[in-house]
Amino acid sequence: MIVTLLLIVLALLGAPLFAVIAASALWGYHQGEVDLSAIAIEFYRIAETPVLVAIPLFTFAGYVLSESGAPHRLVRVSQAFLGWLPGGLAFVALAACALFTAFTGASGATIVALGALLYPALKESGYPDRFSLGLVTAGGSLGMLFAPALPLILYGIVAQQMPAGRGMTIDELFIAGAVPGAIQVLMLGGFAVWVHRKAGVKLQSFSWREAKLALIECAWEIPLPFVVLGGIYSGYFAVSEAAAVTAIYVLIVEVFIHREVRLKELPNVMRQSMVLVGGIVIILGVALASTNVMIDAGIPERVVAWTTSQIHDRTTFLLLLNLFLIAMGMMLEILAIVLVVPLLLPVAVTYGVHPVHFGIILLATLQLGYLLPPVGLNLFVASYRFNKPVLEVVRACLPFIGILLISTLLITYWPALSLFLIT
Amino acid sequence: MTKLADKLSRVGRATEDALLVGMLSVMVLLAGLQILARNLFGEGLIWSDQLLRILVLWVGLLGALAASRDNNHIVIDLVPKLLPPRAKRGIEILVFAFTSAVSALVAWHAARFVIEEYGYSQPLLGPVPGWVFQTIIPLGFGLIAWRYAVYTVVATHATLFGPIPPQGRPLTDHEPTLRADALGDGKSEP
Repeated sequence: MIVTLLLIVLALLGAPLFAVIAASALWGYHQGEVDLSAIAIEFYRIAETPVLVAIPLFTFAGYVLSESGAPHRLVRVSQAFLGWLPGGLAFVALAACALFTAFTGASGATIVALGALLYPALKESGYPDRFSLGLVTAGGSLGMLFAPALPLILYGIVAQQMPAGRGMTIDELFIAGAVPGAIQVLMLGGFAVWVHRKAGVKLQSFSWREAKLALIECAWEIPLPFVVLGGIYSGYFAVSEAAAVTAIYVLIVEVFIHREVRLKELPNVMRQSMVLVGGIVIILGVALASTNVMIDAGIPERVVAWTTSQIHDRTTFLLLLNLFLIAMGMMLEILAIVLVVPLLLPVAVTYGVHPVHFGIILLATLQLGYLLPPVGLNLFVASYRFNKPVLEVVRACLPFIGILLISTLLITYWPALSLFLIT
Repeated sequence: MTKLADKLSRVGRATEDALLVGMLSVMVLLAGLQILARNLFGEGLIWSDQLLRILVLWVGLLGALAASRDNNHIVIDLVPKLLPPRAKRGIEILVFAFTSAVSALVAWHAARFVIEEYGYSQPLLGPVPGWVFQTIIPLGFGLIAWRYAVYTVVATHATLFGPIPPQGRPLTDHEPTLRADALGDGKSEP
């Protein structure tokens, strides 16, 4: 108990999470009189999990995309086609952010790469400054529910280690996330239409010429989401194959056709992206060990027993789950997944929550944490990127936080939204 | 002596980068070939699935090692942000020492695991036995332990005798307190 508390304190003081988790696994082995070299056996399971191949490939592709002119083309083409609709540009911004986050995984990257294009564009077409700032900041956390977002893959991998999550596939998660994700985009888009009406934003007239030019400019990138999403959702590609196709396609288009990422810069982009992958893989590796330690020590059962003795109905449980996850999301960001899944998934299943639905609740709620003061990551990225005080960003985000909160509750209490396509 | 150490650490970093870039390139190519093979010949290459998965392990640990070089691991940095600089530095030393110790412990026990596997010598990929691929686990954790040990020494030195100036440009708020440059620098300080 004292050791556990010490480790929590160390984590809060800023010790690398992999070290904290590794220490807890080692301590657990020691307590259970298991040879400590078991940690290496567990870590080696990284090399026995086929879907993990997707992580370095998608991350690399995302980094190359961010470095290229693709974000700019993406905005231009969607603006050309949707800019004439009331709230169209705002919709464009939200959809582009969601798509970009789904492909690049890290939501901070979306604000940096896309926000810089969308924020001025929104203001220019007459949206209020505060609305525009809030929209690009909140938009940066959308997209985690869509294929091929990394957090969904990570959840699937960890959940499959648990008896409660066995038999669930990552493809099911991708299918389940589509409707809830779309609802979030639509609800925020609805708000944009309302603001649009009120602020009297001028409409861009639709121009065939601009549409054609934008389309031609973007001709190489347009097939990508269709191939990847179509491939995954139709079941033609396994997730890791879709990742390979994405990496190769992006590499060819941005490096050899558009030549926006020079061959000379490529090693550096590779290295940067692999630093992120390394940070994730090492945590996942030691988390596989600590998950097993927890299961062997019967900790999930104890958590289940304690929770069921305290909370008697599902609704209260879900509400507390939301609150708890929001708090976790504020502190831990999306990697909290690997830490909380082993403890929470068995409990959720006891209350009749489907493991796939649980994954969607988990991500929807954690992504809300990205936006919440005082520590939400997006607030700081946006403040830094747009040179605005954090408090101003917070105020700009408030209506968006409210809407995302409502959508999260909707996703939580209406399981069919996530499950109707898979069962 | 310090020159030699500097040179060694430079060579070390270059090797690490080259391995990382090389392995990721192989992964991309291999994954592509695999899909081609499946679509053209109706079946994938037998060994390439296995090799791809091993590459994930290697790229992951090398990436983690590269993250250690920049002290760029995933952390909860709420509390350190709120602390005054002096307390922050003290905590940093503690955190570095802890990370180094845990990584060393993992490396040690992983090495025992690899040695045991060496005893069995089961071929895993063609004729190559599994332990060859598993050596990255003790190696990666060992080097991470080494890096954080150096950080601990550098940070302790900085607390006792004042900070070691980073090479090149000054630090910004958004960067980790310790630059990779500190590695070579710390040693050249008297």
